[in-house]
Amino acid sequence: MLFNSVHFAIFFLIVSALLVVVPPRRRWLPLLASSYYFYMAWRAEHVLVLMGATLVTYLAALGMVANSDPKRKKILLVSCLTINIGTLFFFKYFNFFSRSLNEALRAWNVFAGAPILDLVLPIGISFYLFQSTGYAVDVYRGRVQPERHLGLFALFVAFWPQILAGPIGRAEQLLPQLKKAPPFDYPRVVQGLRLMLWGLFKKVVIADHLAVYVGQVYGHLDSYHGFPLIFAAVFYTVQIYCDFSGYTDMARGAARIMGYELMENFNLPYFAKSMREFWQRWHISLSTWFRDYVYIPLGGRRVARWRWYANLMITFTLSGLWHGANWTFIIWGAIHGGCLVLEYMTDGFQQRLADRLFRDRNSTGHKMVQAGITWTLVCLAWVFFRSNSAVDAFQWIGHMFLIDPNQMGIAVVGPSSFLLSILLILILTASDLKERRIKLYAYLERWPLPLRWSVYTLSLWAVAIATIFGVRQEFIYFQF
Amino acid sequence: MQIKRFVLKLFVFILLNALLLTGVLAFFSGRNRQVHMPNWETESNLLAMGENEQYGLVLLGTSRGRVLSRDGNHLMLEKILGCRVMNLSKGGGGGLMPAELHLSYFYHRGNRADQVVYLVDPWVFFSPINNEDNDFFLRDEPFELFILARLIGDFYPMDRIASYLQMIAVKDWAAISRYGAPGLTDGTLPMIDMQKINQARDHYLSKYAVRGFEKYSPYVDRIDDLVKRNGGRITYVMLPMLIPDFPGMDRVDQKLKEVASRQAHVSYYNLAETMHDKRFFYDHMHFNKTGIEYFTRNCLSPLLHGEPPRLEK
Repeated sequence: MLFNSVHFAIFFLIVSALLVVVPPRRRWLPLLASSYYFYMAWRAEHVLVLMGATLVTYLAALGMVANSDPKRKKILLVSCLTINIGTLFFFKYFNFFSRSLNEALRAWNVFAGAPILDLVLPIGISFYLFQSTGYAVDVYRGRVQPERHLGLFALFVAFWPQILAGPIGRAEQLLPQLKKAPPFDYPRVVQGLRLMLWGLFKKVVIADHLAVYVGQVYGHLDSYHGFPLIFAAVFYTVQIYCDFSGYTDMARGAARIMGYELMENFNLPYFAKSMREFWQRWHISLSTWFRDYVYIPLGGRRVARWRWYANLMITFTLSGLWHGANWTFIIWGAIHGGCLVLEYMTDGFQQRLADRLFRDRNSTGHKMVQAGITWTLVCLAWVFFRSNSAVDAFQWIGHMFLIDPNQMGIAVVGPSSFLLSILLILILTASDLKERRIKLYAYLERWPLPLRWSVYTLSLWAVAIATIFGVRQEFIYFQF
Repeated sequence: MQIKRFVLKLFVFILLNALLLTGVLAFFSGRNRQVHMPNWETESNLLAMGENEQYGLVLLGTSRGRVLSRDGNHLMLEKILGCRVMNLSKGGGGGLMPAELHLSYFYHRGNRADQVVYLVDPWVFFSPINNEDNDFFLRDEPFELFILARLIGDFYPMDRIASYLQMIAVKDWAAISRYGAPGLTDGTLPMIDMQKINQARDHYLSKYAVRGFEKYSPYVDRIDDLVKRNGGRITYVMLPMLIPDFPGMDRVDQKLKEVASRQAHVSYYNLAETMHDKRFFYDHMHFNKTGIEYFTRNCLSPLLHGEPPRLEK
């Protein structure tokens, strides 16, 4: 069930109505039932994996507080993590490692290899297993009290707005909210609707339109060089942002309407002035998860310099691997890790250079150069993320510099579609620039009602027209 | 109090948008009525259909009925029958639901027909792909509010409705509604190949849903009512079929026999076992020119004169 479907609209209407009529104490029941229904709408049998992960984590957490022996506690935690991460590994990476092993063995003329299984990846598995794992670690560390109500805990894992593509929730933030039954609040509901509409616009109008150009170029890499490749990389950079942040906005909007606040996942990432800052703004729920459960346990930066750099590389490579069982994702993660290491290593040099080139480090010029460099690096890294194979990505980078005056990039989709792409990027940039100072929904609030309603109507119509005449695309992060 | 305020505002907002939407759709509705193409030059029904016209014969069916108009066969048909013919069959497997929709629009435009002949394929009584899931039957038809309202009223899937709305943007109707593979009916099947027949049978069975019969067979009654209300007669003709013992054929046969016995303006003939000769087909499903001529002379022509078909096993 996609957020941009009639099926979802009916589902949401029914759930919202149920929440109004059900007594506050029993609110978790329709929420849990609707969450399982929402999940089962994809592939019903995969709900067993979700239920299994829920039960294992629930029991492990209760076991950890019931046991005062630290050794036993540790055994319970390790067992829980092994089952959760093992499940993720089995579905997501088993075939990848099997294939890699087989290729390596073949190079040595060994043809008896590991089996390749016919597996279908349960949707959202990386998100809910990470959420459960984070909860188990938090209980072990004593940061959160375990939830004794199985229904509420199951709801925490399966809460439908976030189960398919996050944000990856934290127990201390989400569980207390799920225990409450917030009353109907007019401004909150309107804010939620606005957020959903903006998310829908970003996904259906901007991301899906740019996807046509991107798909054409990445699908026929041999036919293009120079500008089409550059435009495709730029468009993909915007597409993935609109696709993923659009989904998150819809998820957060839907949750807000029901009275729940999900964590913010994006904070204008393309205005970041360094890679460090980029990761404080992009997919925040995942980057903080890796920070808290991988990077810090590895020692973070409170170790020798070389270990610190190694920790960064390990964390980011794992973050790449989390996205999918493909070398392209691993390289993407490694590029980000490498850039961060380089950024830390050259910190002093960068400051000296800035002092020479700019009168003031806080000048707009300096900030723009920093943001420009960061954006370019991020954009280049996305090439690996989007490519079908690492070979394709390297070919892309090689062919990017072969500028051909006969290939200006406009003909890939035709002038009108190309111009529309540029216009949509400008609309997004303008709104993001505005959002640096004030949240869009708060800004809209100041407008008179006819103007506000005109904006809603225009946005809705744009979504409807894009749905009918455009090419519908799956949410990119659903594959993870 | 807050909920009331919210619901009221939401209602007003939806109402305003619905009015705006209706206005915009009404603006686009019927804007291509001046584009007119004869049945033998277009696969579109709406482009071929006039307004307040009288026809001697209206044909309904799938591509097996549509071939009767392709490659200039339509003119031959009209010449043999001596009357104006409107072929509302839809290529790509347009089944009972599409047929009912096109026929109702035909009458809605004030057209009349003395005789309607439905060229039946049994699978259209079972397969969603021939009915609400058929992706082709509106892909070359200009936008009309009447048809949109019917699609919504009959609970067609959103994809079908969206694909019909896409027609608003079409400019080159000749190109979009032209048949993609002209000249096929000039050919002749070299031999009847049981392997290919079995392949075709498997293909139809793969789309087949036994429970579909309950859903789609009432459309026969709706079509009969439509014809009756508009003062015409309808004959269901089970087309000659090389696939033997198609599952569900008995139920279709029974249903059509029952309808024909109950209503005076309805007739039914099962010709599935006739014309089993390779010289009548260009593939294992569709008539070629020879088959069309033979079928017209020995089935359609007698029907127009109130006589049973002269086809034999």
